[in-house]
Amino acid sequence: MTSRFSQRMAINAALMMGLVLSVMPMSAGLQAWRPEWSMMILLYWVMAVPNRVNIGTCFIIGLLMDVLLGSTLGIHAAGMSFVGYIFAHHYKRIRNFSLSQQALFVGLMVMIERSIVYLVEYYVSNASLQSNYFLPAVSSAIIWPWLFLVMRKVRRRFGVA
Amino acid sequence: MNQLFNQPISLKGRLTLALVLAFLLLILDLRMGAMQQVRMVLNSAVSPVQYLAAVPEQLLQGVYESVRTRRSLSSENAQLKREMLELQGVVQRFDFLVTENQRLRSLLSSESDLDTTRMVAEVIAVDSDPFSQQVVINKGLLHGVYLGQPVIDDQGIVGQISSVGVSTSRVILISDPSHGLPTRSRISGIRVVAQGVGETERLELMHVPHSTDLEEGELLFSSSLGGVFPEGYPVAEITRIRRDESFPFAQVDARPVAQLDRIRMVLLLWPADGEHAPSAIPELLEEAGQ
Repeated sequence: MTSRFSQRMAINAALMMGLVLSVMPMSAGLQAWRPEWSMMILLYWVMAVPNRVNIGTCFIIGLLMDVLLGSTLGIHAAGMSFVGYIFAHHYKRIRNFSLSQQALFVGLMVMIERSIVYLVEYYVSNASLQSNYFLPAVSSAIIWPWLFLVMRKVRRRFGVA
Repeated sequence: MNQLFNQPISLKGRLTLALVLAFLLLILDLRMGAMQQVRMVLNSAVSPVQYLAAVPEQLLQGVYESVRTRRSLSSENAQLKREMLELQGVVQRFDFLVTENQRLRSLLSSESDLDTTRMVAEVIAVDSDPFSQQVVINKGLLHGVYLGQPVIDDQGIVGQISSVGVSTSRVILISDPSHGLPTRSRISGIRVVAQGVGETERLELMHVPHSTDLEEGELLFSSSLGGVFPEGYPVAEITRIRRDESFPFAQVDARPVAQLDRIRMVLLLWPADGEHAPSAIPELLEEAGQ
């Protein structure tokens, strides 16, 4: 059992990594397919250690996403908090899902978060919906099983519980 | 493990709290002014993430530079020299025209426009948010960057500064749906506003009457009417004019001259007569460090 401090650091480092991956420059063709890295890593922690990472952390990560993406403050914060609530409420059930079921569920979560963001953007700035807006839900679902295995390794390595 | 349900505030309570807080932030941010300072602090706080995200690309670039052959370097060098010669030829002519222009302006006793100061900045992040078109550059308050400062690249106008951090700042591109830019056409001199629509390859020209003299292929230059962009920088080229009488105005599309989807280096402009000036502090620090 590692110290509480180093566990906290492992959680934060993974979340930070998610943020970095979310804003890393990509070629224009792949841009539309970029998985929601920070959200997936966040959801993993919510599922694994809901007593340590839940809605407060989701709100903060969402706010940082708002700042990083330059959107109106509070939009992603609201979306992430809502999705985080769903995961924290059903964490026991989700843990017992098979990997493919989890992947579908995560895809659904990405879709819900993006819908919330779109609705708010629509009221704020009359944004129009583009056809490739929900592609990240697909790519996130495809990536999830691998991300889950990597994150589980990280969690066990640092003994986060 | 099961502390989750022993905590003072229930999950539902937390969610409500988070949503209310998000809503408050949203209202505050939309009513601008109040949040400009907060945004500056937050922008500075997340700038490590942005620098970190730019590292792999810079590394790749570095590797690419270091494994290039002597041959490709020397051919690039020759090409650059040729371009330099051509440009110098043009500049000679340009210098002459500038002095002549100033003389003519003084004869007409109208104000002559002065030189602008420039600084090169590098794009370190491009937003993946589909609802806004912004990039982050590696210059900020320390370098004298200010809100609303014009940004160009080697082809034409890119956008303006929308928020400033300590060592980074955010550029809103002319293709952002909330950005409009007053322009003037090169041949006919007609004034039109070029409005972004959220696509890097297309701007819309607003309120153009059906009887307009604008033609496809015409170049649009900044007109300095908005007070943000200096006059005479190329903005866009008209690609299509649709005169459908069922609409109140003609629908005119233009393609930005600057390559908004692949900008790497940009130039920051400081108008000569403005109250802002580039700050020399970072250069002095660098010199002291070497």
